[in-house]
Amino acid sequence: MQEKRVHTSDNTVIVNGIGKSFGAVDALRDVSLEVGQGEVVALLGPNGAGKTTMVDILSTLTRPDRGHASIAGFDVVSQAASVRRSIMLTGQQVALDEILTGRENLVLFGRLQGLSKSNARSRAEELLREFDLVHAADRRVGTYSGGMRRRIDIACGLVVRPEVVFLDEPTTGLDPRSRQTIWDLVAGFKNLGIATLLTTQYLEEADALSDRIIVIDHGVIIAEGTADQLKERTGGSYCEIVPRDLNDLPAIADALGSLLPEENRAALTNTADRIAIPAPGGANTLVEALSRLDTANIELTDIALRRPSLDDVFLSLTKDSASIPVPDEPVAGEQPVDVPVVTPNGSDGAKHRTSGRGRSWLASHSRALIMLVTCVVTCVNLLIAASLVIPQKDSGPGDRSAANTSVSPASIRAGPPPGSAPAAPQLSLPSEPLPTPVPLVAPSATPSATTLQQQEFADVQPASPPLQAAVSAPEVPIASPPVAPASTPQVPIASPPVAPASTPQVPIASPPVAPVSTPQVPIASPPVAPPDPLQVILSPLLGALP
Amino acid sequence: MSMGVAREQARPATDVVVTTALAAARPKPSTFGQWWILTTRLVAPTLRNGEVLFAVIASVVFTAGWFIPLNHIMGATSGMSSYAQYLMPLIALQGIAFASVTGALRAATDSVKGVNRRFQSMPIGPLTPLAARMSAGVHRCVVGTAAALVSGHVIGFRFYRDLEYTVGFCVLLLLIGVVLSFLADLLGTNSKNPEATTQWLLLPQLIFGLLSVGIQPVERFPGWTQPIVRNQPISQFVYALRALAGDTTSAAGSVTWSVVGPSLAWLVGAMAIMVPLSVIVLRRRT
Repeated sequence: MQEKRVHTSDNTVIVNGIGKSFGAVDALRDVSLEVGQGEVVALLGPNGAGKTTMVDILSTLTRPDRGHASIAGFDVVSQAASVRRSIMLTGQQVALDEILTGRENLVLFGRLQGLSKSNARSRAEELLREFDLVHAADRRVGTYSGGMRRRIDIACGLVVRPEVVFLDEPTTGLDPRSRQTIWDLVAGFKNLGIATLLTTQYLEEADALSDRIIVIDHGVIIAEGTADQLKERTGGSYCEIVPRDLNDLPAIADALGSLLPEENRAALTNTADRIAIPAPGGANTLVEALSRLDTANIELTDIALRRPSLDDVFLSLTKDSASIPVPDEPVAGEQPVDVPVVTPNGSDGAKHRTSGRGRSWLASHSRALIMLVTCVVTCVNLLIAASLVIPQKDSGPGDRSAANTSVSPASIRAGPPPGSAPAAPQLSLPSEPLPTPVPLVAPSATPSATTLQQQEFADVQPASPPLQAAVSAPEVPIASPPVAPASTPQVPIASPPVAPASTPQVPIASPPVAPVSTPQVPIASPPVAPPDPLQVILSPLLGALP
Repeated sequence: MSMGVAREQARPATDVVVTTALAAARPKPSTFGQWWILTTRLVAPTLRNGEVLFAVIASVVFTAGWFIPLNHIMGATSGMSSYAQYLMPLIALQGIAFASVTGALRAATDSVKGVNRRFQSMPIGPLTPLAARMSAGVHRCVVGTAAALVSGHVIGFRFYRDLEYTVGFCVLLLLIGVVLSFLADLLGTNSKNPEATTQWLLLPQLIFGLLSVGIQPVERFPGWTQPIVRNQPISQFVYALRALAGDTTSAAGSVTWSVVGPSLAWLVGAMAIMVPLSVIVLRRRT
């Protein structure tokens, strides 16, 4: 069922007036762009700008509300199946089966793409060689380093030829060397005539990789062009001059003469403490400025060459592009030249990326945790057994029911006639004189069981702090007031909000971040509740089963 | 940057390989083949990653954990020939529930890791991964059932009826397993936290398991809980399985619609809710 291509132009990706809203939030508004064959285009923007939504739409994961888009000539909505046969998507996180080895993953994806077993195998070997992963081919992907995971992730997308490659923040969280390796790979796509659309928060990355950069913010394209063009619009490099005496500012402006453009001169205010001049000549401009100021005999505190950071790009692009290189925030000015790399690291895609290592550790140990629960159940049973066997031996089967009556807090009574039982026999436990063996066993059984449970839950959710709860819980059967013995003291367990995932989400780098980035609300927090019902059930049962 | 240099030197040779491979026409994958590959992906590592081992251990632990302490206490009151005979359905159900929780964990891991998202962007039918996960679930349930039957046999459980009832026992158990796996998969796939999912699924397993007629007769529960204990699904499954397994005494009950019917009704009812729900969820994603 070969579908007809709707477009036959040279452009592999054609986006025309795409819009997408999530509730009241417009993730994308009337976005149009094109990517040609063998072209690398970078979608540059802060968190929540709409980059991932754009990639999702183009890779058929999300339907656009408005507009059209086509990939390799196929419409992303009406010909989604053909689009999927033309693309390769790597998300922000490495999406592989971590239980499988690198080679197995490659074979898996090869076979899923329709390669025969032998073809998939030989293709896997080729890719392992090409991606420098031969040495790790038979190790589980779960044990790979960040850079290796990213490489194998991309390799899995290249088992068959894609017409378009989507790389969603491919180097977020990678060290410089791994990043360089990924960059080399992308450069390879260009040579193969594959169109590449990559999203990034790093100006440096967009600069190094792409033929064109599309700056997107709040779902709107705010600038488009080559790296040089954008830098030019942002003001390019600039030279920042801080005089020792603020009163020298006008003198500096005079001394700089032609180096200080008119609009910058006009933008100077009385409150300014420094002057910035465009430095198209880089260091030469700095030397020139320095010599002029030296000639004018003006003392300086600092003079430095700065390159626009990502912040500068966004600030200048979202504002009117007139008063660009006058950085009146001293903090921004402190940043050295390689700001673009450093700054975005703070926000680091945290919205999407769940710290892979920690999670995978938990995931790999969950089975053990399940076993732990099982063991808890077993222990509980054994303790019950212990508590029962002792009285049995002492008093014989005939007396068992009598012993039961006094023990059973949860009111399952085997022995005495129903009529003689109070409505809630367990309530009488504290006041009743107990047969000798029982008080020894019952309290001791409860603490150990609860403590084990606590460990269990503490293990599963590292953040949960139910230690006090563990201490207080054992008192439940003994000290609790008549009604609902288990519920009250349990409260401390349920109350500490665990929320392990809601780690500092504040995007440091990008002031203009849309509020889209909030939905991080962890599903993790509800499960704190479990201890409560679990113990409600267990604690009566401890004494009840007899 | 020595690595980068090395790569640059290596490039001319390897690039040719990649180019030829990437120049070839894309093959056309078959849905059945993809289902099989995805199922294999889930099933094949189960020996290696300990899934099978844990299923067996869980079964043994459940069996020992219930039987050893309770045999002498409950055995006499169960009314059946042996407590093993009485307890077996619950052991089998625990094994199956354990299998479904494991399935949920894997489904949730796939979901969180973005594997599902990746599959969605590939030429794979929207239902194929789900079908593969369900097949793997059946595999897990078979392992769990087998382990439970062996454990049960060791403590003295026997099938006392004809072969077709024995088959019925296993089929009903597997059906329950499939429904549980489906539920677990639905929850796992839509969860953002595999560990939390596991906890949530263990809870009902414990609660319903303990508050069921699997351990002791309903008469021995407090009066106000008896209606719940008697009618909750696990108890109904236990009644049906016990009847299908039979006993030397008549306490196992006879295989009638009134005994097996409620179990089937629970299963059908659960599927009637979950299937539309999962369709909605699948739709919402595309």
